[in-house]
Amino acid sequence: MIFPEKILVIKKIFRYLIPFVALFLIIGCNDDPTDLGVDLLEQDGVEVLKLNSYTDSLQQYSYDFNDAVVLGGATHILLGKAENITSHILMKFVFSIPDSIKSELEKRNLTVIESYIELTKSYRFGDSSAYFDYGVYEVKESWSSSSFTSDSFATLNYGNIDLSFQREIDNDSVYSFRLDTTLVSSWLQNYADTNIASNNGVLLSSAIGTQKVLGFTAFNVDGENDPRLRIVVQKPGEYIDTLIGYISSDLSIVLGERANVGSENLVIQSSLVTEVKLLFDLSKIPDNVVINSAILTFTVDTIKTKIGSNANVNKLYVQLLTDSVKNEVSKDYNYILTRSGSSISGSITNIVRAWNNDVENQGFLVKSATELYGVDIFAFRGSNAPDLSERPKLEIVYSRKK
Amino acid sequence: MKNVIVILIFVASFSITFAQSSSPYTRYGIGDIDYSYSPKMIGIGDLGVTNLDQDHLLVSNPASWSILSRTRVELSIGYRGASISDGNKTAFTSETDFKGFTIGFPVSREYGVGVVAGLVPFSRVSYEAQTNYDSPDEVIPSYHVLYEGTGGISKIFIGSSFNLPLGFSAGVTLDYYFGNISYLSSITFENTSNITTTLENNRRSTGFGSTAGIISSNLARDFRLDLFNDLRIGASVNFISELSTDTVYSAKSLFLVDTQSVGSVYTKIPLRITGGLSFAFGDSYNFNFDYSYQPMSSYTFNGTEDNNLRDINKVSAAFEYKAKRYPGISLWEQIIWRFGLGYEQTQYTFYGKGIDQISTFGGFSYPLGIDNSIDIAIQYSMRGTNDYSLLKEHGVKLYVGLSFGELWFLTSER
Repeated sequence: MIFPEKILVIKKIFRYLIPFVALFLIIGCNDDPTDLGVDLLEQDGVEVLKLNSYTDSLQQYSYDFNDAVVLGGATHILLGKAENITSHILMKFVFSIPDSIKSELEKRNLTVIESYIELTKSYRFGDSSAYFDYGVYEVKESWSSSSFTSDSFATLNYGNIDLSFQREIDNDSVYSFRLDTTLVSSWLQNYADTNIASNNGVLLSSAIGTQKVLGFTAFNVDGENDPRLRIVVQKPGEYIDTLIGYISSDLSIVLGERANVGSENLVIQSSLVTEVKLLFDLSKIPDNVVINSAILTFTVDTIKTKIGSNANVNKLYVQLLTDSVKNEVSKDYNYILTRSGSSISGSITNIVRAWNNDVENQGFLVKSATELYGVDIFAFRGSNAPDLSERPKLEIVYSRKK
Repeated sequence: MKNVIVILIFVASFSITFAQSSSPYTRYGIGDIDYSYSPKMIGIGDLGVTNLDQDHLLVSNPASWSILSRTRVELSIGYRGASISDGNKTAFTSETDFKGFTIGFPVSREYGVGVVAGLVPFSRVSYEAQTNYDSPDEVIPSYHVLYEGTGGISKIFIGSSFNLPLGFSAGVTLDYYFGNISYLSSITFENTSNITTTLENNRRSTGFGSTAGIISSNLARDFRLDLFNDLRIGASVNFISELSTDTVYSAKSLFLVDTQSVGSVYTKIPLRITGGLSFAFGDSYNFNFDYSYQPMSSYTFNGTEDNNLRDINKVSAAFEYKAKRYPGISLWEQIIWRFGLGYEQTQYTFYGKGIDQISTFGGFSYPLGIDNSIDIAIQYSMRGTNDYSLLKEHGVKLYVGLSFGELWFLTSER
């Protein structure tokens, strides 16, 4: 039971205390911190310093190498020859045909009177006026865009007869060519009965004399501008219809040696795929420091660098190598370097932070930011460049207790 | 409903610490010593080692609990504001926080046994200072460093008083000290692409101690000094064993905490001796004179003395007016008034120049019914100097506390 006098006491407490509490809340304000008393805090002093791979003579090692990469996931397929590379295209089509037509196919009542493939151009490497031509060959074995690499090409079984005609070889957008109707008929028969014929697609190879590489939009889930096969069939005396073959698999086969950019340079090239490994000896970073920033800069060889119509080629991708022998990288550390004039640079702070916190320094992998797009050649000074100031440069800002 | 809201605000205010009272002097040793936590003690100069007050719990001398007549609960919140100047510029900072809590039980009035326990602050570190660096280097962007000190040492205690022969009373406590003190140095760059770094030096201390005290009988009566109604002397000793201190030095930056060193050391806090004299004229006029000494020059951390610490000498003189109660006394007349002056040779010394403090303080207890009061005290202090580029601080403390007394364990008469 609460006595009336106690209620009175409680009421008094709150009546008088609350204004004070409110007052405290209101007057608990502060000026921004000033430098008053900083001299008394020297024992907690800190300093910010820098380490520059050039001025502090950090040892560095780098080299470029080709990596066999599956290009089946690329958004473009490349055909042609230019500089150091030759590119072929593998493509295969599937069909979605009404049952009535399929029934006629099974009865072999349909005749293919015309077939052609359309490709939508989206990239060029090399002089736009340079010669370009190609041939189309039947592929005689099964292949997969998820596993086929440039190394697989040497053993690919394909025909030696060019099955194309009326090829379009100079166009701003759509390239098309007629395809041998016998081959296409066999694909339709395969659709009707897989035991009767096979459908392994075609190989597109550049013709002798070709001096540029063109890129065409590849398979995409939206089906926008992707390669398309059109087949005109006829049931004699009854009707003519056009069937459509949809791209199911495609990929580029880019062959060639690493681009010769001189011994003082490193080269990165998409699709081939040429990448760079780079290692700085960071043993000069003192113990117990915090890395605040790390900037990696390359000096571009603007003459040896050859860019196609890919605007994004001016970016490089830097990843932390977890196993430099197997070229394994960490997915947690990915950085973009951006080109500005004759240099390309960017922050790789967290990579250096990782090395400074017990992650083994096996260097980093540098590659094109658009590695599956185009065949652009990106050349920049390597660790052997005679001018030390042009070598890859790593600038680290770190802080520590004084 | 109105009262519920009010209670919520009140409780919330206890759990919040507002901002920071900035005194870079607190970087040294264990920071500023908190002699008292309650408005009553602030009002009589922090010490009050001979003060016998059955309406308040005084933690400076456990012997004072011998006259405890009610179960008593006390708690307080405090505001500190400080204007700091180096002679050229001035900055103002403040903080408000929960100060402490005590509870006491009268066990035996005949034997002067009162048991008191509580949680009270012992020291506090609180400062903020920032300096800017304009870097001419194009690689290192301009940055500023924020130095920040927070934390302190608190004390949980339980103790008892008892009567001695010849009318003397004594008391002793068992104290457990604990607390974290963090010294932070944070680097923030103007260029946001550089990662902010915080270097933290953290010290976590624990250890036991004890406070023992004695208060004399009424010497005016014993020696028949008719001039005084009451005259007493008293003393207390606060002993602290070497505190076990875990140290961690770490660097924090963007999701990464790098522990650079850890250690376990000892912090030695010298004992504190406090003595005092109190006397009363008539029934209402009480005077307290206290002196406290603590040889902080012997303070060591990890076996190393601090050259910026010296011995503490603190004196205070306080007057308290408490009207004699009689039937029909008005509420206004029941208010207890306090006022005093203090001088302290603090533990801080720089470049051979000691940091001294003078203060004036006052306060009152407003009765909230029988045995309850709301206590308010304010202290103005001035310490330091602008010599040698040191800091002069003008500080204000405003403490508000509640003291509830109630008869528990009352034996019913048959």
